[in-house]
Amino acid sequence: MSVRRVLAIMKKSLNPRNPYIIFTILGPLLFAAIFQLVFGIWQTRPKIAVYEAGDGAITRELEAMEAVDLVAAGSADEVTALVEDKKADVGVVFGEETKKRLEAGERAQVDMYISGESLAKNRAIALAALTGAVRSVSPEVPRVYFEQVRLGEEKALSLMDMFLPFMVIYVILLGGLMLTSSFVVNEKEKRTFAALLVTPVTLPEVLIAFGLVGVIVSLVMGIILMLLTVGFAQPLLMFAIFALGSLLGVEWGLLLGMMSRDQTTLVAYMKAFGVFLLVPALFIVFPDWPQWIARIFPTYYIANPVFRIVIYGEGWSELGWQILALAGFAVLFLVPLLAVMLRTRSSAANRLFTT
Amino acid sequence: MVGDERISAENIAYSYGDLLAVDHISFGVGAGQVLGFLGPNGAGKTTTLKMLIGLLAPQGGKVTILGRDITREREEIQGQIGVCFEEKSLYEDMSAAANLRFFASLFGIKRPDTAALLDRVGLPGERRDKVANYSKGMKQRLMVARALVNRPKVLFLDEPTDGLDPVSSEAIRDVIMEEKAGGVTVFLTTHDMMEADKLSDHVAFISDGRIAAFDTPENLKHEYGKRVLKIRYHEDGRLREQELPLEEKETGRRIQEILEGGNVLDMHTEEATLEDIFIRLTGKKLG
Repeated sequence: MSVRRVLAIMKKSLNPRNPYIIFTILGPLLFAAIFQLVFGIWQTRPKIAVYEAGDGAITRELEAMEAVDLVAAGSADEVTALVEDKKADVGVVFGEETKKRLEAGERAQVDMYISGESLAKNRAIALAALTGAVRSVSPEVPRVYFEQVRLGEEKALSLMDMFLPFMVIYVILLGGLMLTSSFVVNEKEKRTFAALLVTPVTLPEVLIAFGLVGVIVSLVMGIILMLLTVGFAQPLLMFAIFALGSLLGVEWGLLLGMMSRDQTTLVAYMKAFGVFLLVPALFIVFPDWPQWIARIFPTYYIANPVFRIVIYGEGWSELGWQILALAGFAVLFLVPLLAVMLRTRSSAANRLFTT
Repeated sequence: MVGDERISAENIAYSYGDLLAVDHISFGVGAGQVLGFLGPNGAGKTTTLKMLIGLLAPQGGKVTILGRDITREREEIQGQIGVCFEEKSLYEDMSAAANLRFFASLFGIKRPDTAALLDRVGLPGERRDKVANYSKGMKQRLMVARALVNRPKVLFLDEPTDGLDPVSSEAIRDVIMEEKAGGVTVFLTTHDMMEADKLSDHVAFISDGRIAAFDTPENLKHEYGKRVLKIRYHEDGRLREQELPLEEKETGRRIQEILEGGNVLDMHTEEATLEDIFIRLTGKKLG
């Protein structure tokens, strides 16, 4: 295995004039633009309802912050009412006892009422803003813990929420599956695969180079798309999902590339199988449908965790098993690829690419 | 067989399902020699070539290139060989120089002299236009240049001049002769018998996966050819033509008779071509 040769093939594959590269990069950006245009996400700042006993120092701090909109409340009951009525994303009550503890630098727990319909991104921003504002009354690093309390019914999904699972699957598959399979098929169709394989380059080096380009492009575009649309809450968890999802997409891309004789066959396969990849997104946005069906499909374990993070603010504890399932699928689809790579000397693998 | 072999095939065989494409053939090629591997389409030429360059593993027998077993030391061997396929296999969205630079990088060559390489095959080195805009002949010449990018010790050329214009064909033949003169071993598959006759030190006739003959072109012509003298002359007011076998005793007397008649239009010896011999040996045509 030569890193130099892998890098040379990666560099060649990242040709900015390659229409697939252009489409893979512009596609998600176009998606983000449409998303913003249709849903106007950029205009929504988190609304925080606050009732504060005493001098109102925390409230003044929040009022001065540009990242949040403050909704003034005259009482603790009004705070919960505003959250329940969806007039605020988050509501917090700083009672006298809490203020005293904060001013004394003691540990304090504060209930943070969250609306069932608030975006995880807005909750995260509100939490950061509240923590920052508390600094104004606390003599040192505030030892405050915000306990999330959901008010109202489980979120009713908006059109934008319904769009999210499709968007996630789309961006993962565009870079991972489509770009990688197009690399393989293009080399086969142009017969350059054979030209590569009569140099010291080995089949695993070629496939690893294509796979790395696919994973990197898919991952980067996935993160960019999220940042441009719904935010990147719980970065580590979100990164793990996108990394594993990109890997899975790349594995499918390489396998599909091997199976396809030319671009026409590849497109036919994509049309035939593409719909199955998107099926889980339908089940996610229609939770009344039998969810066990969606769980059969690997893409469920990409779209659903992202959806749960963004819409419901869930984390590792709720989604850990889904990440494990995703990793399991990534390992499962690696097996046939490794089998092909390890059999290169038998020439049967070479025939997949050169005849 | 030739001593000090750079290419050695020992009893190699390959089947596609029930079809035996290459049927346990053996041959060898020495340093600085050109082997013309001749046969019609479907005879097993390309399958043999693929086994020699490591794209197919022989299902029987053994291939040794530069003294190394291709199935065991493929990477090492492929670093020292150059291959030019019959079908175009270029990155057409890249320039000729970019194609050469990319392939050179796979051999670990950092700064290949692409201009000199392109000049050798008669292509302008400074052109930046995409290979997609090249003619068939230019693409083929670029394929040959690519095969030379790592200064190979053994060169495999699969029908390098097939369907090309005379200028491109001649440019490629010149390169083959230059490489041969430089000590490079050349394995040349072709169904152009004139080309094989002109370039090859040895020729192998392959038909139905078997080698029907392996020798120098001269020896094959001597062994299987008919050497005749063809005379055209006027006799009794009519144009006559006669073929006289050179080896027969009566031929001298007959030539003298015709010459004495004083009406000879032209006369020349006519050797059998490799194509004639191929047809005679295999019962098949090459085209």
